[in-house]
Amino acid sequence: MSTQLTTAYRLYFPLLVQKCTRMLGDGHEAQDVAQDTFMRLYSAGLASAEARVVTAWLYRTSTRIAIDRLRARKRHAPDPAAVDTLLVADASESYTAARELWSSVADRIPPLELEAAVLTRVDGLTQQEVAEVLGMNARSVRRLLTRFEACVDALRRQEGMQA
Amino acid sequence: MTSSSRHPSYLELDRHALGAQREAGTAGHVASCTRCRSYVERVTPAEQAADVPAWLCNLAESAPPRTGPRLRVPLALTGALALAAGVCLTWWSAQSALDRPPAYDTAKGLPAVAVYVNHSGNVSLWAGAALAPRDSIRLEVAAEDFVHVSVFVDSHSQAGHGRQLLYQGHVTAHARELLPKAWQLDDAELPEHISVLFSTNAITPAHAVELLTAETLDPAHAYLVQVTLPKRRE
Repeated sequence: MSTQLTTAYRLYFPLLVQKCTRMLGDGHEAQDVAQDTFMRLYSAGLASAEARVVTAWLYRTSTRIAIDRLRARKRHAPDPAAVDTLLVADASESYTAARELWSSVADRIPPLELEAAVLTRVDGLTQQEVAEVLGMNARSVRRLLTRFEACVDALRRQEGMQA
Repeated sequence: MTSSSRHPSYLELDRHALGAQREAGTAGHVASCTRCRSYVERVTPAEQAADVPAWLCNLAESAPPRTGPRLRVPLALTGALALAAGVCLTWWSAQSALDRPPAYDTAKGLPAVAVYVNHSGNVSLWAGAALAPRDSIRLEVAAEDFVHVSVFVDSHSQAGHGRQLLYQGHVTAHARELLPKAWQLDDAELPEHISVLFSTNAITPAHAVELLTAETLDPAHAYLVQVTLPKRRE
């Protein structure tokens, strides 16, 4: 096995598992997404790239794959009273409790808005870091987050009416 | 760092564990914060990889990685083309001859995409700069072994999201081909994410979307090139 591959595995797989676990919880799904992301990293020829480049790429790619997984989960109506949890600024802990809630709204919020929200609220990234990860400027990130909040607000009203 | 009084982001902590952090205060915070120190310990690379999983062995035995990263192909490609030919295609003008650039500088067997931009009538090869609203773009593809191409753009609106099919059609294998359509960028400032899916046979739009969302693509049958075009406000 190539040294490059084992080195990349040693450097990046632990943080990748942690990142996926934050989004998807412990278990096979987080491991699957971490593995999938790592395989894509290798096949993209990025395994030996500079660490800042690789980490940004890993955050972007694993977030997108994890969001796809969340969207694929069986949809169920969110608890309208709990929807506000999605707007908590430092949500790494509260997110753990609200993971099911994110799953339930994942297919109702546009993916880019969701990516930006996950990166800020789950991974605690600053808007500048999100801009770096998503390859856009900070103003666009702010716009995405504003739209995310509007989506959550609309969802809360919608679910509140249905409840 | 989110702020001096808050925890650094997990990205910053990951980078700290790899020795690639940017913020000067990260190390000090980690040293004094139990939560962050505990996290950094979990992600700090071991001296030696303890147990190498079976899938990693399989990965090592499978196809070697691409010589260039997927997302860099268009950039590298456009740079090489611009450097080699000083290309300025005038494909909007029917009277102008199409000055073909030299061969693509890419690994043998890898499909590639070049983007041409028409900004206020001036056409140039895109080299990564932010585009203006209402610029038009046109794609040139080198399909290598593939014979069909599907082009999608990510669409986002208040009404929802999805992928909008821009173009589908046959392309000539082992040749460069300018796709017959041009697309104008909208006024939104968000970047345009374009997916160019090469396939070995004609596929339906629905099948193309299926492949785009697949976790893995069989490179013998399909290959995806993704291009992100940043936009600026005018």
